[in-house]
This record gives sequence, C-alpha cells and structure tokens, in this order.
Amino acid sequence: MIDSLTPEQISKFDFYKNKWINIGLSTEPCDFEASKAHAREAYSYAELTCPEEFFLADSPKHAIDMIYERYKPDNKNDIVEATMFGNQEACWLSYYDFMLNELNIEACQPIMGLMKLAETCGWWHGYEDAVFFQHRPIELHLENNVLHNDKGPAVLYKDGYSLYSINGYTVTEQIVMSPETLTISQIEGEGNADIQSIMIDRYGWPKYLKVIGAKCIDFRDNDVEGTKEALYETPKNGKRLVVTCTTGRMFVLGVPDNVIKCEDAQSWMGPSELVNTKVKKFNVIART
Amino acid sequence: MSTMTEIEIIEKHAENIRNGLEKVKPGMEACFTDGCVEGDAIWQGDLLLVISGDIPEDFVVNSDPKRDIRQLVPGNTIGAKHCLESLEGIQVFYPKEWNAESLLGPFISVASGHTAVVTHPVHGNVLIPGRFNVQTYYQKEYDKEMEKERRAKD
Repeated sequence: MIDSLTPEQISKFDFYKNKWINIGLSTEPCDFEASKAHAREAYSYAELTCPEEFFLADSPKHAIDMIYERYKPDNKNDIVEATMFGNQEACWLSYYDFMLNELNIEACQPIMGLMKLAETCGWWHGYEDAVFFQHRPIELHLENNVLHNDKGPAVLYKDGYSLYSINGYTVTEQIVMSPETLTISQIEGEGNADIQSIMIDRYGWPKYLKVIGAKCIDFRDNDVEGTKEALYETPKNGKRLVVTCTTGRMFVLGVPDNVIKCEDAQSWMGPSELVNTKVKKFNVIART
Repeated sequence: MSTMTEIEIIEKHAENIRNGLEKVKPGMEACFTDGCVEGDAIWQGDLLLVISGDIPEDFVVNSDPKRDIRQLVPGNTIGAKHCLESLEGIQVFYPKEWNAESLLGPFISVASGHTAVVTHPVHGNVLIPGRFNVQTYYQKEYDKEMEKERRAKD
C-alpha cells in the first residue's frame, strides 16, 4: 500500500508529463516493424494469439475503409468503436508509466504493450486475424492547448484526410477556408451556439449585421479613447458593440441584453468593482 | 441614420487609423502622468491597467519557477503577450488563484525613480511612472461567459 510519494518521485512528474505530451502530439510516421513487435507483446499480455497479418493505413478513414473491405460489417460505426487510439491514449497511459517505473507497481505490466504501441503508431485496430496500424497525422495545430487552425486543417494526415477546428470546436472546411461563401441560412441553421458564433466571426460580424439588417440603438465618438462605437441589436445573437481599435482594426463584441448605450457596454467590459482602491469605478484616460 | 451608415462610418474610421489620418495612431504610446489618481485606467487592447492603492492582502509573489513573470496575461497567443519590458524596480504580485479564467490579473508595484513599460506586439506601450501601483484586469467577454454557461448546462 502506497499512501504518499517521496519528493524524488514527485520531482519526476514533469518528466512523465512532457514525455507523454510529446508522444500524444507526435507527427512522426508509424514505425511499422516496431509496432508489429509491440502488438505481439500487447496480445501476449492479454493472453491472446497475435495474428500474422499486419496492415498500415495512412489515416483513420483509410483504416476504416480497409477494415470494412475485409470484414464487411453491417455497421461501419462498429469499426470506429473498436478503435485503439495508439499515441493518443497518452493521457491515461502516462499515469501507468509513472506507477510502473517509479513506484514499481507490477500490476501495470499488462499494459506495457499498449505503452510501447503509443510510442510507435497512431490509432490501431486489433482483430483475431489481422492488425491494422495507422500513421499519425503529419500536421497537428494547437492554440491554448486545443485544436485550432484558422488557415487550414488543424489535423492533417498524409493521404489528405483532415479535420478542421477553431478554438477546439470541430468545424467544416468551408468555415475555415471559405467563410465568405457561408449563407445566412447556414449560419442561422447551425444548432450549436458556439459553432454559430465561430461561423459569424469567420463570415465577418460587420457584414453579418448589414445583411440581417440589425438595428443600431446607439452610436458615439469616444474622444478619450479615440474610437467610434455603435451598439446593435440582432434578432438572434443579442446585442453587439461595433468598435474601432487604435490599431486600425474593428471589433464586434457581445454585451448583455440590459446594455442600452455604448458607454454602458464599455463599462461592462471592465471590472464591476475595483480591488483595494478608494474609488469604486475605473476612469479610462487612454487606450492603446 | 441607416444601419449601413453607422457601420460604414466605423469601417472608414478604422481605415483612416490604419492610414495615419486620425488623431490616434497604431502603436501609439499611452502613459499615466503624475497627476493620475486611484481609479485612472488605460486599456492596452483587452488588458485594463488601473492605478490602485496598496498591494491587496491576499496577493502573493510568484511561486512558479516556470512562469515568465514579465507576461501579464496567461496563454501563448499573440494577444496574451502583454509583457513588462524589464523587472528593474518593479515587483509583481498575483491573485492566489490566477489562471486563464481569471478576470483579475497581476498587481504591479513600481519603485520611485523607475518606469514600468508594458509592451505588446500589436498595441502601443503603456508607461507607468515610479511610485504608482497598478492593478491589472482582463476584459470581460460576453460570448465566452455564454459559452461557459452553455457548457455548464450540458
């Protein structure tokens, strides 16, 4: 029974964290020969006979097509559900790697094969008579630790299979690559509010406000900050403050429904109360 | 005034700023002056710097050796790169719970005889003369608040 860790063991946390983040985010091609050996080990730990036929797919889609062609299951989803995630199992394998190697917990030994496979291949499928490995993606784009690329696919495989993602939300290629072709009915027909917001961001809020005929309910020249501001009311997306920035860009920012003036919108964006000051409200003297 | 007109005025104003035709210029510096009082504030993009009193009691010095204490906003995006140019004569204190979800940022204390310069890759510098304490705050984002609410409901 282990009920505490030594400082030396704790000091190894970073090593295992970084090791497994690198494994999980690897874009190296699959090492086919090593993966075969590791699969044999994984089958052996599971007390199963490892098949002798091995295949290598370029992407998840390629693998699913290969497997479907071979087994012709009634439902393609059965193939997806039987996927082992290889290097992308890193999040949980890291704990067992630490427990096995730093705490010498032998009960972790049976997943050694999976740990080794995580280091050499992407997703994989193990059947009774064949194993299908996949290459890892050749490109993986993250921002703030979530999938994000506003200029191309966030995940790209060598056969061109790809996934588009903005701020961690999976979106269509059209939203990323040709947002100007989105239609108002596509935008308003999107059921997920977060994706709808991304669609409007990509389409362009000013254009969207013009096209839907949003109503301007307040406008001001903000002489202190050197900006111009307009507050709009939209039928389905609440109130929006359209504002210039001293960098020469313009922004469209959401504000609560009870805001009725541009000045109130600007105040709402700051702290509702100040900490450790004699005054309750902030007084903006400039903006850069 | 029609909808088109207000948006067009704003679009034109932004274009004029980019072309250097307005009073405000891209990258223009802003500074707190000796006449500033508590509550006076400068926005550097989405970071608000407010002249404040003493260091709040529950704020602490940095305890994370991996943290770059010159960066005042957590994250690795360009937008998060609000950074102190130098730490000479400057002390930085943090709220006990400080992370990407916080609306309260670090507290900056500038010693007499020094000036703190807060830089940013896109926005102009903000200068804080010595003897001032400044509390930083992050701009509230309505869409993110709504997104959090929706996620909480899921």
